[in-house]
Amino acid sequence: MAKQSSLGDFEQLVILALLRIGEGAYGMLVRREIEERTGRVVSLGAIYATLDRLESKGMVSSTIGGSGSNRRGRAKRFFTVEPPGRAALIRALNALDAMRSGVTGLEPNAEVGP
Amino acid sequence: MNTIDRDSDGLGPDFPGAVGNALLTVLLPTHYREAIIGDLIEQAEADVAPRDGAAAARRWFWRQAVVSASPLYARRTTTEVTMTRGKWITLVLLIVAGLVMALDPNVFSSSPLVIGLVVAAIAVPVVAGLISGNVHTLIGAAAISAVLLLTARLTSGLEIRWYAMAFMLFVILNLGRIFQRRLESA
Repeated sequence: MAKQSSLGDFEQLVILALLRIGEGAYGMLVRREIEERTGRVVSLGAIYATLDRLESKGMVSSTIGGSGSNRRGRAKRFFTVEPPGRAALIRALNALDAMRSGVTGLEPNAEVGP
Repeated sequence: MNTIDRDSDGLGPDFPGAVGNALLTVLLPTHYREAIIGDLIEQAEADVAPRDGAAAARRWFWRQAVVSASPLYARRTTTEVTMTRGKWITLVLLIVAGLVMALDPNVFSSSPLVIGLVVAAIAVPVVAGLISGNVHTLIGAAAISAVLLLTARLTSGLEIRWYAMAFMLFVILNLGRIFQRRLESA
């Protein structure tokens, strides 16, 4: 059986952010999405390093896009989740759900506690 | 009265300027440099400048650029850097030169400032030589290193002959490697 690529915690967040944003996702939006939804402060470098790793695994692809005066002519790099990335995310989430299922106090939106 | 600088131009039309661009060229890896700088400018102007003013937005930009550099270089170092014979020789020579220098009582009996300058002067070309084959980065690293060394020399009167020798070897080896690569690809 071929070895399937697994995803780390932060890789899952980045792919989920790309899927939530959809078309036109780029570094700054990914960072904002993660920070707003998780409260986790991340550097743009960490986002791009993760996107680079995912791209090298064939899980996301990127294209150079528009610039504009608000970016002083610097082009954006748009990212798209590829089928292997989506599959790896589903496997990771399914595994987490399977392990969490039936454990008291770990239901979705459970309180973290003291 | 609110004293925060809230100019309508945000960071300014020429931001980050010629010197800033040169710094960013050294600071950020080539592959994502344009995208990251554009993203940071966009966020600084859209989010930070309206809230905290242009000066704070500029500080935020540079802080973010510096913070973003390390994960990108760490990523590059673990995936893209292949240790060629030239790099190994460079590394070994610099380590040996660094050890010899460390054993030289003149250096470490100097002030902390001089020690810091000399250590930084060694570290800059070592890191640049290991993670980049880009001629501009290497020349920039060599120039920074030379300035640090010169500053150490001027502020202390210290003879740093071992490091100077290693520095010349670094320049010769890396430039030789680049010319060899260009000859191979010609």
